[in-house]
Amino acid sequence: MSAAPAYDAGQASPVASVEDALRTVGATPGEVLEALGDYDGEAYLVGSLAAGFGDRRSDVDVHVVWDGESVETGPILAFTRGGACVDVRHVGRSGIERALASRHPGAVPVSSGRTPAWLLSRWLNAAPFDPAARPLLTERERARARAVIVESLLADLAALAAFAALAERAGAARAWYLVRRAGVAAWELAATLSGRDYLGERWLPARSSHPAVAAVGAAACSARRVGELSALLARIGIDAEDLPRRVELRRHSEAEAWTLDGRPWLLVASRWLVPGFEDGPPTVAAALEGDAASLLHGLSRGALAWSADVEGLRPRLEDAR
Amino acid sequence: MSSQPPGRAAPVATPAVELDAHWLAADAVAAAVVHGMLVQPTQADVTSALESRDFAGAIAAANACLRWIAGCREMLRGGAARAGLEVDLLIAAGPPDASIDAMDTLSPRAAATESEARRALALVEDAERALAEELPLLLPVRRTPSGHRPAVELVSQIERLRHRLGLPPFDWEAWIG
Repeated sequence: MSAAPAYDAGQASPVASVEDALRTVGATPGEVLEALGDYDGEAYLVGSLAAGFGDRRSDVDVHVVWDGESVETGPILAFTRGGACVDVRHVGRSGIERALASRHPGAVPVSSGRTPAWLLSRWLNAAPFDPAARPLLTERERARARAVIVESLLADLAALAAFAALAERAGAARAWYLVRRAGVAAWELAATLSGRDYLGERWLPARSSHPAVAAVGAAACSARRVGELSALLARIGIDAEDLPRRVELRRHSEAEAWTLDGRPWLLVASRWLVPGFEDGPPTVAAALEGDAASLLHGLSRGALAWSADVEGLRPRLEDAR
Repeated sequence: MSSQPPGRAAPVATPAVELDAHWLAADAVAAAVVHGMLVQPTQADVTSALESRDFAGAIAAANACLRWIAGCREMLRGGAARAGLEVDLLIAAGPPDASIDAMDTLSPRAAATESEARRALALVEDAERALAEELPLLLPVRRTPSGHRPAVELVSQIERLRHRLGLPPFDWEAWIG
Protein backbone atom coordinates (compact mmCIF):
# COMPACT_ATOMS: atom_id res chain seq x y z
CA MET A 1 0.00 0.00 0.00
CA SER A 2 1.29 3.44 -0.87
CA ALA A 3 0.74 6.43 1.36
CA ALA A 4 -1.24 9.25 -0.26
CA PRO A 5 -0.12 12.83 0.38
CA ALA A 6 -1.45 13.71 3.82
CA TYR A 7 -1.61 17.47 3.46
CA ASP A 8 -2.23 18.86 0.03
CA ALA A 9 -1.09 22.48 0.01
CA GLY A 10 -3.64 23.30 -2.67
CA GLN A 11 -4.99 26.73 -3.40
CA ALA A 12 -7.10 28.83 -1.06
CA SER A 13 -10.51 28.25 -2.60
CA PRO A 14 -11.35 25.59 -5.16
CA VAL A 15 -13.82 27.95 -6.88
CA ALA A 16 -12.62 30.08 -9.79
CA SER A 17 -14.17 33.26 -8.41
CA VAL A 18 -16.71 34.56 -5.93
CA GLU A 19 -18.92 35.42 -8.87
CA ASP A 20 -18.93 31.79 -10.02
CA ALA A 21 -19.65 30.49 -6.53
CA LEU A 22 -22.55 32.90 -5.96
CA ARG A 23 -24.18 31.91 -9.24
CA THR A 24 -25.25 28.69 -7.47
CA VAL A 25 -27.68 30.70 -5.32
CA GLY A 26 -28.56 33.22 -8.01
CA ALA A 27 -26.70 36.08 -6.34
CA THR A 28 -24.01 38.49 -7.45
CA PRO A 29 -20.98 39.83 -5.55
CA GLY A 30 -22.42 43.32 -5.92
CA GLU A 31 -25.69 42.61 -4.17
CA VAL A 32 -23.97 40.65 -1.40
CA LEU A 33 -21.59 43.56 -0.78
CA GLU A 34 -24.58 45.88 -0.84
CA ALA A 35 -26.22 43.75 1.84
CA LEU A 36 -23.08 44.11 3.97
CA GLY A 37 -23.41 47.90 4.09
CA ASP A 38 -20.38 49.84 5.28
CA TYR A 39 -17.57 47.76 6.71
CA ASP A 40 -13.91 47.97 7.55
CA GLY A 41 -11.59 45.20 6.46
CA GLU A 42 -11.57 42.59 3.71
CA ALA A 43 -14.65 40.52 2.81
CA TYR A 44 -14.20 36.81 2.08
CA LEU A 45 -16.72 34.25 0.92
CA VAL A 46 -16.42 31.19 3.18
CA GLY A 47 -18.69 28.18 3.76
CA SER A 48 -19.95 25.55 1.36
CA LEU A 49 -20.12 27.85 -1.69
CA ALA A 50 -16.48 28.87 -1.30
CA ALA A 51 -15.54 25.21 -0.88
CA GLY A 52 -17.05 24.41 -4.26
CA PHE A 53 -20.08 22.67 -2.78
CA GLY A 54 -23.40 24.27 -2.00
CA ASP A 55 -26.71 24.26 -3.80
CA ARG A 56 -29.36 26.82 -4.62
CA ARG A 57 -30.58 26.94 -1.00
CA SER A 58 -27.15 27.42 0.54
CA ASP A 59 -26.40 30.39 2.77
CA VAL A 60 -23.91 32.97 1.58
CA ASP A 61 -21.36 32.95 4.41
CA VAL A 62 -19.18 36.06 4.52
CA HIS A 63 -16.39 36.81 6.95
CA VAL A 64 -15.18 40.39 7.11
CA VAL A 65 -11.62 40.33 8.45
CA TRP A 66 -9.76 43.34 9.80
CA ASP A 67 -6.37 43.79 11.42
CA GLY A 68 -7.60 44.77 14.84
CA GLU A 69 -7.44 43.34 18.30
CA SER A 70 -11.22 43.17 18.41
CA VAL A 71 -12.94 39.94 19.25
CA GLU A 72 -15.33 38.29 16.83
CA THR A 73 -18.95 39.40 16.87
CA GLY A 74 -21.97 37.18 16.46
CA PRO A 75 -23.60 36.65 13.07
CA ILE A 76 -25.53 39.36 11.28
CA LEU A 77 -28.13 38.17 8.79
CA ALA A 78 -29.13 39.92 5.59
CA PHE A 79 -30.93 38.70 2.50
CA THR A 80 -30.39 39.06 -1.24
CA ARG A 81 -33.20 40.07 -3.57
CA GLY A 82 -33.57 36.41 -4.50
CA GLY A 83 -34.01 35.45 -0.83
CA ALA A 84 -30.59 33.91 -0.19
CA CYS A 85 -29.49 34.32 3.42
CA VAL A 86 -26.25 36.27 3.79
CA ASP A 87 -24.61 35.35 7.10
CA VAL A 88 -22.03 37.99 7.94
CA ARG A 89 -19.41 37.66 10.65
CA HIS A 90 -16.81 40.25 11.57
CA VAL A 91 -13.56 38.58 12.55
CA GLY A 92 -10.50 40.29 14.01
CA ARG A 93 -7.16 39.02 12.78
CA SER A 94 -6.43 38.26 16.42
CA GLY A 95 -9.34 35.79 16.37
CA ILE A 96 -7.76 33.94 13.47
CA GLU A 97 -4.42 33.86 15.25
CA ARG A 98 -6.10 32.46 18.37
CA ALA A 99 -7.74 29.69 16.35
CA LEU A 100 -4.40 28.87 14.72
CA ALA A 101 -2.73 28.76 18.12
CA SER A 102 -5.32 26.32 19.57
CA ARG A 103 -3.85 23.60 21.69
CA HIS A 104 -5.90 20.46 22.36
CA PRO A 105 -8.65 21.83 20.09
CA GLY A 106 -11.07 19.01 20.87
CA ALA A 107 -11.07 19.73 24.59
CA VAL A 108 -13.46 22.67 24.73
CA PRO A 109 -17.09 21.78 24.02
CA VAL A 110 -18.81 24.15 21.61
CA SER A 111 -22.49 23.40 21.18
CA SER A 112 -22.92 24.68 17.67
CA GLY A 113 -19.85 22.87 16.42
CA ARG A 114 -18.19 26.23 15.63
CA THR A 115 -14.91 25.05 17.09
CA PRO A 116 -11.56 26.53 16.03
CA ALA A 117 -11.23 23.54 13.71
CA TRP A 118 -14.63 24.22 12.15
CA LEU A 119 -13.74 27.87 11.56
CA LEU A 120 -10.32 27.02 10.19
CA SER A 121 -11.87 24.57 7.72
CA ARG A 122 -13.95 27.50 6.40
CA TRP A 123 -10.99 29.87 6.27
CA LEU A 124 -8.93 27.35 4.29
CA ASN A 125 -11.45 27.77 1.47
CA ALA A 126 -11.92 31.53 1.79
CA ALA A 127 -12.30 33.45 -1.49
CA PRO A 128 -11.85 37.25 -1.40
CA PHE A 129 -14.55 39.42 -2.94
CA ASP A 130 -11.76 41.72 -4.13
CA PRO A 131 -9.65 39.60 -6.53
CA ALA A 132 -6.62 41.74 -5.68
CA ALA A 133 -6.88 41.04 -1.94
CA ARG A 134 -4.32 38.79 -0.29
CA PRO A 135 -5.34 35.23 0.63
CA LEU A 136 -6.90 35.00 4.08
CA LEU A 137 -4.24 32.56 5.29
CA THR A 138 -0.56 32.38 4.37
CA GLU A 139 0.92 29.03 3.34
CA ARG A 140 2.42 28.65 6.82
CA GLU A 141 -0.96 29.40 8.40
CA ARG A 142 -2.68 26.94 6.08
CA ALA A 143 -0.33 24.17 7.21
CA ARG A 144 -0.97 25.07 10.84
CA ALA A 145 -4.74 25.18 10.22
CA ARG A 146 -4.66 21.65 8.84
CA ALA A 147 -2.67 20.45 11.84
CA VAL A 148 -5.26 21.95 14.23
CA ILE A 149 -8.11 20.36 12.28
CA VAL A 150 -6.46 16.94 12.29
CA GLU A 151 -5.73 17.17 16.01
CA SER A 152 -9.33 18.17 16.72
CA LEU A 153 -10.75 15.32 14.63
CA LEU A 154 -8.39 12.86 16.33
CA ALA A 155 -9.58 14.02 19.76
CA ASP A 156 -13.23 13.54 18.78
CA LEU A 157 -12.47 10.18 17.21
CA ALA A 158 -10.56 8.96 20.27
CA ALA A 159 -13.38 9.97 22.62
CA LEU A 160 -16.16 8.50 20.46
CA ALA A 161 -14.30 5.22 19.89
CA ALA A 162 -13.53 4.94 23.61
CA PHE A 163 -17.14 5.68 24.58
CA ALA A 164 -18.37 3.18 21.99
CA ALA A 165 -16.21 0.52 23.67
CA LEU A 166 -17.59 1.59 27.07
CA ALA A 167 -21.18 1.41 25.82
CA GLU A 168 -20.63 -1.99 24.24
CA ARG A 169 -19.07 -3.28 27.48
CA ALA A 170 -22.07 -1.85 29.40
CA GLY A 171 -24.45 -3.71 27.11
CA ALA A 172 -26.11 -0.42 26.10
CA ALA A 173 -28.75 -0.98 23.46
CA ARG A 174 -27.46 1.97 21.50
CA ALA A 175 -23.73 1.25 21.56
CA TRP A 176 -23.97 0.91 17.78
CA TYR A 177 -24.85 4.61 17.59
CA LEU A 178 -21.52 5.63 19.13
CA VAL A 179 -19.74 3.23 16.77
CA ARG A 180 -21.48 4.98 13.88
CA ARG A 181 -20.54 8.45 15.17
CA ALA A 182 -16.92 7.36 15.59
CA GLY A 183 -17.09 6.12 12.00
CA VAL A 184 -18.29 9.54 10.84
CA ALA A 185 -15.37 11.17 12.71
CA ALA A 186 -12.96 8.76 10.99
CA TRP A 187 -14.56 9.58 7.64
CA GLU A 188 -14.09 13.32 8.30
CA LEU A 189 -10.47 12.66 9.18
CA ALA A 190 -9.87 10.63 6.01
CA ALA A 191 -11.48 13.32 3.83
CA THR A 192 -9.31 15.96 5.49
CA LEU A 193 -6.17 13.89 4.93
CA SER A 194 -7.08 13.68 1.24
CA GLY A 195 -6.90 17.48 1.03
CA ARG A 196 -10.65 18.25 0.98
CA ASP A 197 -10.68 20.94 3.64
CA TYR A 198 -14.24 21.35 4.79
CA LEU A 199 -15.87 19.93 7.90
CA GLY A 200 -19.52 18.91 8.05
CA GLU A 201 -21.47 15.67 7.69
CA ARG A 202 -23.70 17.01 4.90
CA TRP A 203 -20.82 17.26 2.42
CA LEU A 204 -18.90 14.12 3.43
CA PRO A 205 -20.01 12.07 0.40
CA ALA A 206 -18.96 14.95 -1.87
CA ARG A 207 -15.54 15.03 -0.21
CA SER A 208 -15.00 11.32 -0.85
CA SER A 209 -13.68 11.28 -4.41
CA HIS A 210 -10.38 9.78 -3.23
CA PRO A 211 -10.82 5.96 -3.31
CA ALA A 212 -9.36 5.50 0.16
CA VAL A 213 -11.77 8.07 1.60
CA ALA A 214 -14.67 6.38 -0.17
CA ALA A 215 -13.59 3.06 1.37
CA VAL A 216 -13.50 4.55 4.86
CA GLY A 217 -16.92 6.13 4.23
CA ALA A 218 -18.42 2.84 3.08
CA ALA A 219 -17.13 1.07 6.20
CA ALA A 220 -18.32 3.93 8.42
CA CYS A 221 -21.84 3.66 7.02
CA SER A 222 -22.25 0.04 8.02
CA ALA A 223 -20.19 -0.42 11.20
CA ARG A 224 -22.26 -1.47 14.23
CA ARG A 225 -19.73 -3.17 16.48
CA VAL A 226 -16.47 -2.00 18.00
CA GLY A 227 -14.66 -4.80 16.14
CA GLU A 228 -15.85 -3.37 12.82
CA LEU A 229 -14.77 0.10 13.94
CA SER A 230 -11.31 -1.25 14.73
CA ALA A 231 -10.96 -2.59 11.18
CA LEU A 232 -12.12 0.76 9.84
CA LEU A 233 -9.62 2.73 11.94
CA ALA A 234 -6.80 0.45 10.84
CA ARG A 235 -7.39 1.82 7.33
CA ILE A 236 -6.20 5.24 8.54
CA GLY A 237 -3.38 3.92 10.69
CA ILE A 238 -5.15 4.15 14.04
CA ASP A 239 -5.05 1.35 16.61
CA ALA A 240 -8.55 1.36 18.11
CA GLU A 241 -7.46 -0.62 21.17
CA ASP A 242 -5.05 2.17 22.07
CA LEU A 243 -7.75 4.86 22.18
CA PRO A 244 -9.49 4.08 25.53
CA ARG A 245 -6.10 4.50 27.24
CA ARG A 246 -5.82 7.98 25.75
CA VAL A 247 -9.16 9.27 27.06
CA GLU A 248 -8.79 10.54 30.62
CA LEU A 249 -11.77 10.94 32.93
CA ARG A 250 -12.27 13.36 35.80
CA ARG A 251 -15.09 14.88 37.77
CA HIS A 252 -16.67 17.68 35.78
CA SER A 253 -15.68 21.10 37.11
CA GLU A 254 -19.37 22.07 37.32
CA ALA A 255 -20.40 18.93 39.21
CA GLU A 256 -20.63 19.57 42.96
CA ALA A 257 -19.93 16.88 45.53
CA TRP A 258 -22.85 16.31 47.92
CA THR A 259 -23.49 13.87 50.71
CA LEU A 260 -27.02 12.88 51.57
CA ASP A 261 -27.73 10.39 54.31
CA GLY A 262 -24.17 9.12 54.12
CA ARG A 263 -24.18 8.56 50.37
CA PRO A 264 -21.91 10.55 48.03
CA TRP A 265 -23.46 12.25 45.03
CA LEU A 266 -22.56 14.73 42.37
CA LEU A 267 -25.01 17.57 41.87
CA VAL A 268 -25.13 18.34 38.14
CA ALA A 269 -26.73 21.38 36.50
CA SER A 270 -28.42 22.26 39.83
CA ARG A 271 -30.76 19.41 39.07
CA TRP A 272 -29.54 15.82 38.94
CA LEU A 273 -27.95 13.86 41.76
CA VAL A 274 -25.64 11.37 40.09
CA PRO A 275 -23.82 8.70 42.12
CA GLY A 276 -20.37 10.07 43.00
CA PHE A 277 -17.15 9.21 41.17
CA GLU A 278 -14.60 10.57 43.63
CA ASP A 279 -12.41 7.53 43.16
CA GLY A 280 -13.46 6.82 39.63
CA PRO A 281 -11.18 5.26 37.00
CA PRO A 282 -8.63 7.65 35.49
CA THR A 283 -9.15 6.55 31.89
CA VAL A 284 -11.82 4.88 29.80
CA ALA A 285 -9.50 1.87 29.52
CA ALA A 286 -9.66 1.47 33.31
CA ALA A 287 -13.42 2.04 33.25
CA LEU A 288 -13.81 -0.91 30.88
CA GLU A 289 -12.68 -3.16 33.74
CA GLY A 290 -15.27 -1.74 36.15
CA ASP A 291 -18.88 -0.60 36.22
CA ALA A 292 -19.13 0.54 32.60
CA ALA A 293 -22.86 1.24 32.77
CA SER A 294 -22.53 3.69 35.67
CA LEU A 295 -19.63 5.44 33.99
CA LEU A 296 -21.56 5.81 30.77
CA HIS A 297 -24.48 7.27 32.70
CA GLY A 298 -22.19 9.68 34.55
CA LEU A 299 -20.71 10.84 31.27
CA SER A 300 -24.11 11.32 29.67
CA ARG A 301 -25.32 13.38 32.64
CA GLY A 302 -22.26 15.62 32.56
CA ALA A 303 -20.97 14.47 35.95
CA LEU A 304 -17.72 13.43 34.32
CA ALA A 305 -15.54 15.30 31.89
CA TRP A 306 -12.89 13.87 29.60
CA SER A 307 -9.88 14.86 27.58
CA ALA A 308 -8.12 12.93 24.84
CA ASP A 309 -4.36 12.80 24.49
CA VAL A 310 -3.67 12.40 20.77
CA GLU A 311 0.06 13.06 20.99
CA GLY A 312 1.95 10.63 18.80
CA LEU A 313 -1.03 9.51 16.73
CA ARG A 314 -0.05 9.62 13.05
CA PRO A 315 -3.12 9.05 10.90
CA ARG A 316 -2.47 8.36 7.24
CA LEU A 317 -4.51 7.70 4.20
CA GLU A 318 -3.68 4.46 2.47
CA ASP A 319 -4.42 3.08 -0.92
CA ALA A 320 -7.96 1.69 -1.09
CA ARG A 321 -6.84 -1.65 -2.45
CA MET B 1 -44.30 22.35 11.34
CA SER B 2 -42.85 20.92 8.16
CA SER B 3 -46.08 21.69 6.29
CA GLN B 4 -45.50 25.40 6.84
CA PRO B 5 -43.92 27.43 4.08
CA PRO B 6 -40.33 28.22 5.03
CA GLY B 7 -40.02 31.44 6.96
CA ARG B 8 -43.62 31.68 8.05
CA ALA B 9 -43.83 32.81 11.64
CA ALA B 10 -44.66 29.70 13.62
CA PRO B 11 -47.35 30.32 16.23
CA VAL B 12 -46.55 29.60 19.84
CA ALA B 13 -48.64 26.57 20.69
CA THR B 14 -51.58 27.35 22.95
CA PRO B 15 -51.54 24.65 25.59
CA ALA B 16 -54.78 23.03 26.64
CA VAL B 17 -53.29 22.52 30.09
CA GLU B 18 -50.88 24.51 32.21
CA LEU B 19 -47.16 24.31 31.59
CA ASP B 20 -44.28 23.90 34.01
CA ALA B 21 -42.62 27.28 33.48
CA HIS B 22 -39.25 26.10 34.75
CA TRP B 23 -39.29 23.12 32.40
CA LEU B 24 -40.22 25.40 29.53
CA ALA B 25 -37.62 28.06 30.33
CA ALA B 26 -34.80 25.59 31.00
CA ASP B 27 -35.29 22.32 29.12
CA ALA B 28 -37.81 23.11 26.40
CA VAL B 29 -36.04 26.32 25.40
CA ALA B 30 -32.81 24.42 24.82
CA ALA B 31 -34.68 21.89 22.68
CA ALA B 32 -36.53 24.64 20.82
CA VAL B 33 -33.26 26.44 20.08
CA VAL B 34 -31.63 23.28 18.75
CA HIS B 35 -34.79 22.65 16.72
CA GLY B 36 -34.65 26.15 15.25
CA MET B 37 -30.90 26.41 14.76
CA LEU B 38 -29.91 22.88 13.79
CA VAL B 39 -32.92 20.65 13.06
CA GLN B 40 -34.64 23.04 10.65
CA PRO B 41 -31.50 23.93 8.65
CA THR B 42 -30.40 20.31 8.35
CA GLN B 43 -33.92 19.30 7.31
CA ALA B 44 -33.72 21.98 4.59
CA ASP B 45 -30.35 20.46 3.61
CA VAL B 46 -32.05 17.10 2.99
CA THR B 47 -34.60 18.71 0.69
CA SER B 48 -32.08 20.80 -1.22
CA ALA B 49 -29.69 17.87 -1.66
CA LEU B 50 -32.55 15.78 -3.01
CA GLU B 51 -33.50 18.58 -5.41
CA SER B 52 -29.88 18.63 -6.58
CA ARG B 53 -30.02 14.85 -7.03
CA ASP B 54 -27.22 14.50 -4.49
CA PHE B 55 -28.73 11.38 -2.95
CA ALA B 56 -25.80 10.44 -0.71
CA GLY B 57 -25.66 14.04 0.51
CA ALA B 58 -29.39 13.95 1.26
CA ILE B 59 -28.94 10.83 3.39
CA ALA B 60 -25.90 12.30 5.17
CA ALA B 61 -27.95 15.41 5.95
CA ALA B 62 -30.83 13.21 7.13
CA ASN B 63 -28.50 11.47 9.57
CA ALA B 64 -27.33 14.83 10.89
CA CYS B 65 -30.93 16.00 11.24
CA LEU B 66 -32.10 12.84 13.03
CA ARG B 67 -29.16 13.16 15.42
CA TRP B 68 -30.28 16.66 16.44
CA ILE B 69 -33.93 15.56 16.66
CA ALA B 70 -32.95 12.77 19.05
CA GLY B 71 -30.84 15.26 20.99
CA CYS B 72 -33.85 17.57 21.33
CA ARG B 73 -35.92 14.74 22.77
CA GLU B 74 -33.23 14.08 25.37
CA MET B 75 -33.18 17.78 26.27
CA LEU B 76 -36.95 17.71 26.77
CA ARG B 77 -36.30 14.93 29.29
CA GLY B 78 -33.85 17.18 31.15
CA GLY B 79 -30.63 16.16 29.47
CA ALA B 80 -28.05 18.92 29.19
CA ALA B 81 -25.45 19.13 26.46
CA ARG B 82 -22.95 21.76 25.39
CA ALA B 83 -21.46 19.99 22.42
CA GLY B 84 -22.27 17.50 19.71
CA LEU B 85 -20.30 14.80 21.48
CA GLU B 86 -22.27 15.37 24.68
CA VAL B 87 -25.47 15.05 22.64
CA ASP B 88 -24.15 11.73 21.35
CA LEU B 89 -23.61 10.49 24.90
CA LEU B 90 -27.13 11.54 25.90
CA ILE B 91 -28.54 9.67 22.93
CA ALA B 92 -26.44 6.56 23.52
CA ALA B 93 -27.47 6.30 27.17
CA GLY B 94 -31.08 7.33 26.62
CA PRO B 95 -34.25 5.30 26.28
CA PRO B 96 -35.44 3.86 22.96
CA ASP B 97 -36.01 6.51 20.31
CA ALA B 98 -37.43 5.95 16.84
CA SER B 99 -35.35 8.79 15.37
CA ILE B 100 -32.15 7.02 16.27
CA ASP B 101 -33.36 3.61 15.21
CA ALA B 102 -34.14 5.16 11.82
CA MET B 103 -30.52 6.23 11.48
CA ASP B 104 -29.45 2.61 11.61
CA THR B 105 -31.18 2.08 8.27
CA LEU B 106 -29.76 5.13 6.45
CA SER B 107 -26.47 4.75 4.62
CA PRO B 108 -24.99 7.75 2.78
CA ARG B 109 -22.93 5.46 0.55
CA ALA B 110 -21.78 6.70 -2.83
CA ALA B 111 -24.27 4.49 -4.70
CA ALA B 112 -27.29 5.74 -2.72
CA THR B 113 -30.45 5.83 -4.83
CA GLU B 114 -33.20 8.39 -5.18
CA SER B 115 -35.70 6.11 -3.46
CA GLU B 116 -33.34 5.73 -0.48
CA ALA B 117 -32.94 9.51 -0.31
CA ARG B 118 -36.70 10.02 -0.48
CA ARG B 119 -37.17 7.50 2.31
CA ALA B 120 -34.60 9.42 4.35
CA LEU B 121 -36.55 12.63 3.80
CA ALA B 122 -39.79 10.93 4.84
CA LEU B 123 -38.16 9.63 8.04
CA VAL B 124 -36.86 13.11 8.82
CA GLU B 125 -40.25 14.71 8.18
CA ASP B 126 -42.03 12.20 10.40
CA ALA B 127 -39.48 12.58 13.20
CA GLU B 128 -39.50 16.38 12.97
CA ARG B 129 -43.31 16.48 13.02
CA ALA B 130 -43.40 14.30 16.15
CA LEU B 131 -40.78 16.50 17.84
CA ALA B 132 -42.59 19.71 16.93
CA GLU B 133 -45.72 18.36 18.61
CA GLU B 134 -43.74 17.85 21.82
CA LEU B 135 -42.22 21.31 21.83
CA PRO B 136 -44.24 23.95 23.71
CA LEU B 137 -42.85 26.66 21.44
CA LEU B 138 -41.30 26.80 18.01
CA LEU B 139 -38.73 29.29 16.87
CA PRO B 140 -39.63 30.64 13.44
CA VAL B 141 -37.19 29.80 10.68
CA ARG B 142 -34.62 32.47 11.41
CA ARG B 143 -32.63 32.34 8.20
CA THR B 144 -35.38 33.69 5.95
CA PRO B 145 -36.50 37.27 5.31
CA SER B 146 -39.88 36.75 7.00
CA GLY B 147 -38.73 34.54 9.86
CA HIS B 148 -35.85 36.57 11.23
CA ARG B 149 -37.76 39.29 13.09
CA PRO B 150 -40.34 36.97 14.76
CA ALA B 151 -37.48 34.76 15.92
CA VAL B 152 -35.68 37.70 17.49
CA GLU B 153 -38.90 38.80 19.26
CA LEU B 154 -39.53 35.33 20.66
CA VAL B 155 -35.96 35.12 21.93
CA SER B 156 -36.55 38.37 23.80
CA GLN B 157 -39.73 37.00 25.41
CA ILE B 158 -37.91 33.85 26.48
CA GLU B 159 -35.14 35.87 28.09
CA ARG B 160 -37.69 37.87 30.09
CA LEU B 161 -39.26 34.66 31.38
CA ARG B 162 -35.87 33.19 32.32
CA HIS B 163 -34.96 36.37 34.17
CA ARG B 164 -38.29 36.29 36.06
CA LEU B 165 -37.63 32.68 37.11
CA GLY B 166 -34.11 33.42 38.30
CA LEU B 167 -32.41 31.52 35.48
CA PRO B 168 -29.23 32.87 33.90
CA PRO B 169 -29.40 34.18 30.33
CA PHE B 170 -29.57 31.39 27.79
CA ASP B 171 -26.28 30.74 25.97
CA TRP B 172 -27.66 31.65 22.53
CA GLU B 173 -24.26 32.31 21.05
CA ALA B 174 -23.13 28.78 21.80
CA TRP B 175 -25.89 27.32 19.66
CA ILE B 176 -26.08 30.02 17.03
CA GLY B 177 -22.32 30.11 16.57
